[in-house]
Amino acid sequence: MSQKPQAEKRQAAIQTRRSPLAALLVRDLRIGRRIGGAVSMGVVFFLCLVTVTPFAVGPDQALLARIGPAILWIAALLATLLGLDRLFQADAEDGSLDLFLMSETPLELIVVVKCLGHWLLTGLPLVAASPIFGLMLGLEPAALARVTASLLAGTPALTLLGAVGAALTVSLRRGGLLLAVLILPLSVPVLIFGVAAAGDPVVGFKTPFLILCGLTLAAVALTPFAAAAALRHAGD
Amino acid sequence: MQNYANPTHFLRLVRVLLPVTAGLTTGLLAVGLYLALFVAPADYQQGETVRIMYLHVPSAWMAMFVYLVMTSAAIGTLVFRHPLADVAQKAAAPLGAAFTFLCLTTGSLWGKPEWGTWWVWDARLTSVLVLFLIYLGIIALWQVIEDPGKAARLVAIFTLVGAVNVPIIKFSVDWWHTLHQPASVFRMGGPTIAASMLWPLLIMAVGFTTLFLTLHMLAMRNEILRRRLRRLSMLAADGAAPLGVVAEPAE
Amino acid sequence: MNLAAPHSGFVIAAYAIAFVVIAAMVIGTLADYRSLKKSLERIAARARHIGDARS
Repeated sequence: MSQKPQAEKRQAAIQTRRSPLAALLVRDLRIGRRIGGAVSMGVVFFLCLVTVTPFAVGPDQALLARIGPAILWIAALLATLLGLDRLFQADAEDGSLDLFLMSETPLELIVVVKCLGHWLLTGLPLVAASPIFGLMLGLEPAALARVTASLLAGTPALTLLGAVGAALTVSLRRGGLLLAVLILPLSVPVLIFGVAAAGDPVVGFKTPFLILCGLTLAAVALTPFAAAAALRHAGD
Repeated sequence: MQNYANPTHFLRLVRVLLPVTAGLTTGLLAVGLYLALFVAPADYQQGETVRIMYLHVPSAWMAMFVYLVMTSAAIGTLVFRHPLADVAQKAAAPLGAAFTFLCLTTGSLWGKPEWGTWWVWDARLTSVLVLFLIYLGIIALWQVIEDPGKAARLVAIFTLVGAVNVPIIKFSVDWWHTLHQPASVFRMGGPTIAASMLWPLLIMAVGFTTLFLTLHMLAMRNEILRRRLRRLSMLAADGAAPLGVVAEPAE
Repeated sequence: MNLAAPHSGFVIAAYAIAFVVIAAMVIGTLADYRSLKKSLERIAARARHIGDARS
């Protein structure tokens, strides 16, 4: 009776509001931008790794140019994984995770959106910075393009795989190291095809790049289910 | 008490099966070792080193078999919620890691005389190494989560993720290896193998399998007792001593 | 098995390592079992003791 118009009003309000997933993405990006400077920190860490490597292998320009793609990939792998342990932990601490678990929006989609936000904040800056760091390692322009393209295609898979580890370790106080131990073996295929697409002279660009894209798509399709299942079981 | 029903039945089953599998293991390994060390001929190419294969191939087989057991246990935990499944899974992980370690060390010991180095980034060795790392990750995950039920479900999820990944890793490592080194290395135990070498290999493989089954049952029994102990000490800490629970035989 | 063969040391080392690993697994599991049994008996005895004191 009097409830009906109220319900309609609420319906209208819901329709004008943002969809929950978009709201979550905007919230994550906002948090990432305001607190901690996650964007700059990831890139600085990436730069640190690139800077340290020549001290380890020597300043030989030819050698650096040869292993440059591998250095960039290892650095991107570590920079992605090391920031991931907080992916769900902050939400678990402030209670948002319980809201995710109770919400009507599928948890799998929430995981995908969280990963997208995280990738936009950490993965994309790494991809954008990689040509500059590649120049420092003496890569040719063609190689620069290949490294950047392979990182663009491959880092989402790393973030998604890492999300499984983040979900598994969400209830642990010091999950960062365990996350890396769990996920690094699983990221071997991405690393292999990423580095091959980035700089292998024998095999060419196309085959490994396409396989890399396939790995990323498979990760998009499969890992959200694993991560969501882990989040559901981590609570009780 | 309902939880106890299955483990108690299982413990009774273990008591019956244990002598059988233990006896089988002893017999098979004794015969297998005799055949492998004294009867099987030395290879015309590899000489005596070929005898390492009788350890290496069975351990490699166990490394994969144990992961298969853990995957089925993980499905049992997640889908059927069987109380024994997570016990089986937890008990299998260290055994699988041990067999994988054995596979790696024997492979390395075979590689030194045959390839000239202790370690070759050969496709098979490398995939087994990654499998070893996954085992270690699983064990680490078991150790850091205190509540056994929660740990079981999380480890089960990770085990399944690993099970999906292992074939991909195998494929990509093979691809990577052919990319960097044309396949010229000698492969251990190809399909063409003389019967005098096949028999000891098969017997050793079956012996390793029964050895795993025996150890797995023992480790599962330990795990059941450990959970019982955990529950009892928690009850004791609460101050209540429910005699009904305590009086039941520990085995 | 020809002990004088050039690489027999590696074979012996492999079998020795296998023996050590398998023995460690067996002994570890059995030792674990014994210690668990002992703890269970101890806790049962304590419970019986408390029960006697109460009745």
